Amino acid sequence: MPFIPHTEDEICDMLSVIGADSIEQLFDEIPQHLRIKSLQGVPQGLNEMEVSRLMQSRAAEDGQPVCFMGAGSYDHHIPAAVWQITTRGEYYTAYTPYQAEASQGTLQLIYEFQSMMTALTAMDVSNASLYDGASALSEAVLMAVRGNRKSKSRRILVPTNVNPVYRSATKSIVHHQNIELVDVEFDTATGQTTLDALKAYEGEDFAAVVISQPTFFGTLEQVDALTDWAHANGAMLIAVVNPTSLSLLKPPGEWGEQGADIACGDGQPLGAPMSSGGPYYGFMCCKKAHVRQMPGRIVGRTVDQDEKEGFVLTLQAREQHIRRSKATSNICTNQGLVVTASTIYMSLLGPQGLEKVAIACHQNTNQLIEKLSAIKGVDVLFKGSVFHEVVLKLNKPVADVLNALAEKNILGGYDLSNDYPQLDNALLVCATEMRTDEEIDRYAQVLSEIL
Amino acid sequence: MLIFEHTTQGRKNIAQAPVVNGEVNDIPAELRRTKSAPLPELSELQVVRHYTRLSQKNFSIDTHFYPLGSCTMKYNPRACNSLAMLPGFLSRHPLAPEKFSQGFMACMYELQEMLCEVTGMSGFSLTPMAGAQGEFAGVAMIRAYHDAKKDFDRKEILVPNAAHGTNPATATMCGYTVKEIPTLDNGDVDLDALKQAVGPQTAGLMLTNPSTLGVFERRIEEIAKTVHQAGGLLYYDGANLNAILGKIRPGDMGFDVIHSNLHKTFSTPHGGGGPGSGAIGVSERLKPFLPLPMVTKENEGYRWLTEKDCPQTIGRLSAFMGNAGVLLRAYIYMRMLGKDGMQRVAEFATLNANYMMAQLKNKGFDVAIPERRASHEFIVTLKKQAKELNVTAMDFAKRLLDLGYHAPTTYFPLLIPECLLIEPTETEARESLDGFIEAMLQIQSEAENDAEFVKGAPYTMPVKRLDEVRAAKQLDLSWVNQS
Amino acid sequence: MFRLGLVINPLAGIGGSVALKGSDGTETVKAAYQLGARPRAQDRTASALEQIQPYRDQIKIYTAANAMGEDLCRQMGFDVELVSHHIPDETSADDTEACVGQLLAQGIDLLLFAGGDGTARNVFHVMQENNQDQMLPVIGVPAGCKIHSAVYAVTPKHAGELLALIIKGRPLAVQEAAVMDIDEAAFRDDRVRAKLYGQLHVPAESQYMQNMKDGGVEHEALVLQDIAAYINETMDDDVLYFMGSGSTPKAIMDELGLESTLLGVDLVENQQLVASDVNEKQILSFLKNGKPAKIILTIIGGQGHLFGRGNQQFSSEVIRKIGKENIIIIATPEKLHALNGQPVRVDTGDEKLNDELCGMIQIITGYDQHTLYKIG
Repeated sequence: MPFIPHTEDEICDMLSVIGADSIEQLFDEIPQHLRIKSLQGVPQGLNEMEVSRLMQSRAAEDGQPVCFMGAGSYDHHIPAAVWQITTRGEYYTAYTPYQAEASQGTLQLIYEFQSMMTALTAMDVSNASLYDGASALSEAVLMAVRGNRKSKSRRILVPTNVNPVYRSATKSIVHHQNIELVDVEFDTATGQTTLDALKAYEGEDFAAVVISQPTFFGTLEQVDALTDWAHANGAMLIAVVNPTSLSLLKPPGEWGEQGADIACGDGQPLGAPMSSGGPYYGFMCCKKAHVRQMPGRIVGRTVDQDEKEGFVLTLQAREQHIRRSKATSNICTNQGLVVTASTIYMSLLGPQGLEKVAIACHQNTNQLIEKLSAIKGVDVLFKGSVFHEVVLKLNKPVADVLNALAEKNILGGYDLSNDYPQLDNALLVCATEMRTDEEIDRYAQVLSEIL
Repeated sequence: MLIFEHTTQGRKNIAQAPVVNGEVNDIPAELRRTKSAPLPELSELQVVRHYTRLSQKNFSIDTHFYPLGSCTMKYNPRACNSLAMLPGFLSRHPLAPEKFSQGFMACMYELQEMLCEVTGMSGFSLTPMAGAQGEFAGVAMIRAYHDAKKDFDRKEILVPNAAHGTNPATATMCGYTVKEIPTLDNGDVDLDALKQAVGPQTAGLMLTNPSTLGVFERRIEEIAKTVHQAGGLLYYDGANLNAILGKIRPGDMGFDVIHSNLHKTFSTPHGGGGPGSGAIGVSERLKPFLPLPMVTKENEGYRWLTEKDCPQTIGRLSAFMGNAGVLLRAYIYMRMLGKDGMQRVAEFATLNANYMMAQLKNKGFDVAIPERRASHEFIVTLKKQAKELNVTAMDFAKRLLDLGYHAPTTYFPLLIPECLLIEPTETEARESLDGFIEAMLQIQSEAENDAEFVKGAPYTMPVKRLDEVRAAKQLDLSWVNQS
Repeated sequence: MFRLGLVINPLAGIGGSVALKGSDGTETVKAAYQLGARPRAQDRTASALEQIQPYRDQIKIYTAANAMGEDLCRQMGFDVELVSHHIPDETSADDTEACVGQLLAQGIDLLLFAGGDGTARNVFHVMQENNQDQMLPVIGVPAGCKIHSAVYAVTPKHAGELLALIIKGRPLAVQEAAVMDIDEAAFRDDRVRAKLYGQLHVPAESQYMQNMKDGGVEHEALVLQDIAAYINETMDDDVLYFMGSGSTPKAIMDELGLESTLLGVDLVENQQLVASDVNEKQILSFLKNGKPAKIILTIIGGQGHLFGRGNQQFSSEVIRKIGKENIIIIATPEKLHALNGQPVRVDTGDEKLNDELCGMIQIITGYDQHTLYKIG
């Protein structure tokens, strides 16, 4: 019996204390005719050796192609200490820190995490995290509808250069509450959201404007002007940001005259492996004035009966009023373990290390652009600088090219044709700090052969 | 001390960061950061020591008995962790082509299939990232189902008043209003009230079985019939699936939708509050509406189902496919247990709970519904102690920490005053259960002799009871913005 | 005496039994009658009113003649006062609206209405025109064919039970509930979609909102903090706020970071302290130039006084000038429960004003949490 410690004698003793003849008798309140005898579709159990063999072969099956793909998940180096500490049982197997006195480790760590996120984003406050970047955007949208007292609107302006799956997930999550996401088309020359595009909506009531920095295309938005436009029109500004980029780019708290109202994004680049898409975490920061509209757990620093410093979950009544409010969220949990990894990651790298990661990503991507765009049949689609991703225009269908690259063990990037059919043969590529000069050269060489 | 307070300006970890040559000069100044972020600057050893020490301030399953009701704090096998963290799994990009994904997809497909089998459902989607998101997906599917039938009059979700607070919030998120159904003293749903409440406006009923009161809902078939006859659907909140695993299946009870908290029943770690997973299963008629992505098997290979395959899907709920690493852990756990191991989960979870309930009852504690069998959990009510000794459930909980036991769930469900909801799980040995019972007795006698002493607990934790009012009044949420 | 307003749409639900969608329009009604349909609004309202029959001597029902309420109320032995006497045999939406208008003019504590989505829209329409949609609590008795609106109780009996709780003095939460009806434009496109017309305030008996697995103990000081934060966040610019005495209003001053007079009235505008410990004369002089003003106050003393105990600065003249609708009452749930169902008292020294202030009020009892309670 895996993981069940009872001996035969113990079972007998325990049953006699209960006054039951058998374990079976403990289920006597369940209608007999509904009971099942066995779970036919489940295989017999495996011991640890057998299951290890199985999983190792499954893991090996997937190969480890050289990754030039980003599109929301990024291949960064994670220091060895990060997950070794994170998977200590005291973090790994603890529950939500409701019993504060017995959870000071987790609580202090979350407080430190919140502090680090406010440092990176230059925002006032942060929560303890949400599920992932996509759900963080949906929560930001709900929060803006709740929190914007100047606006009665349930409409949100969302440029189409925001990650398409963030947009579709947000729509799935908020549309039942009659909240509408209104598309703003990007400029076809630059991939940016322009003031002109926003001006078409001037005078209309919107709860918020979403701006992604960098955009899904890797391009950079004119964040100051866009933020000021939103505020001048009574809308809140929701910033969707890549946390790695924040060491290099202007943090959302400093956008425009007043700064963004809410900043959110996916925390994966800060210490979470790509791991097939999760677990990652969504982060969310906001101005202090909106803290009571912010979903998720929040940890505060306080003192105990002896005036000793300690940490607690605070503003807990928020959860209840958010549930009653005009834009309801049911979120309960955070992604504690991944936040633990992220906090350790940020501590190990420090401000300079993180900046180096950002610069290395940026420089590698520039190098990749240089090498690839030199190939005949490859053009850079949007003009202007990028952070660590770029859209290339190929002279062949992207799917075919990606397949050919895959044959050479190269994960060549993300095919934009499904999400943006208007962009012909467009490929989104990324080079993080992990990509070596040799790998970049090899990509260029293989690609030139294919084209 | 906070990590920020260990900082020495200029200290860096050269080994951790990439080598960078040259400056960035192609990004316009107005888009650049001007001041570097005020993050901590420490050596690797200092960081490791700080977070190792912090970890030691936590209770955890690995260190303490953790009988937290409705949370299923069972042992998280180490193999599940180390195998889910094999480099091949960790380095897989979520959008990698199927060619580079067959091993991972095989695990996901088999997990979907096994979950169908243990719950009696026809289809499963693994994408919801927590119980609450699974709930959202489930109720959104109920709505999609009625909408597809052009049955727009169904605008109400029924919820028993013993339910968890997320149930009504979820219904509201899906555009429904919520009506509460009362619970009888014996823990069953008030069937007469339910019969009165259902009608052409009923979209569905959300139910946990065994209920949050720790007892099995005996008239579940009649409940299902009542709701179905009115045209509504039945939603199963899988919070308490551990109690019935391999014994009875929600599908056979008549449920149409279920979310399964893999972090409870299938032993993925709670991680200090997530990541969880709220995989969602449905009966045949709701299959077209399942959220994406899902894995299907074709010609011995696996492929992703997309919007083209499932045009009626309620859509996507996450950027990729939810908490994949958590799903792998659940998969490994299920493979290790196998069909027989799974049945024993419910058996020994129930044995442990009934044993503890019997012992505590024998030793003079009041049990909420003494005439009923416990499921995998049960409720002790300290109403008497609160009234006579002025010692509350909270005080017992805090004193338990001193004695080396994590407190049970307190003040939930709200229907029972001064309650402790106790769930031992199947992985605890009898010694732990007896130790906990001893501790309860010790506190009882302390309370009788010196109530103030109990009210001052805990004494041995890193901190004493914390000033929550000050925390809310003088909000200090970030070290950076305080100093 | 509890002043209950009642409107029955006598034709509500007549279409449903013969599978017609709704009962709107005389043609539909005729068709329904010809198909043998009988209205069900009277029966349904009766099952609601049964629940409050035991409290008959505490209730006065204001309603319209004949089938719009009078017949049923008399039959059930309620004390009735008619606000409109001439009701045609076959009523229409106009009659519903006229009756609601008269009830509002009469002054009632709560409006009970029986009908369907159309009826709810009529009620909303009149209340909106009278600026009562944010103030007067309503309960809908579901009697129509189309019930998309959340303003309706789940069953008629449930509507009656809520009413009984209110009459017994139980503090109930107030929630915004939607008034919905079929979107006519979509309907013609052969799509059936309910459209949101507006929100009304309905009482709700609800325990489930609290969910924290740990922490059923709501610390009163934390609740106070929530109330203060809510008031602070919802304060309008360029409005004079007269902060009453007592520790609850003082929590707001603390939140604003302003010095406060514990046993006096302070004046705040645009989050700044304008004057401390003002007397009646000073208040009146601040009100001279017609600036909008609000009073924030709490329930004082063991008997639960709103006015007339320790805040005589709020004289009848001050209260009249500021207006009943600009009085914001705040109290922790604990304080309300301590009243044991006794109504909040007013003693302004002006009997007529006291009477005008009586009725159901919404008290702010948490962050965006409103509780229905009686001033009597």
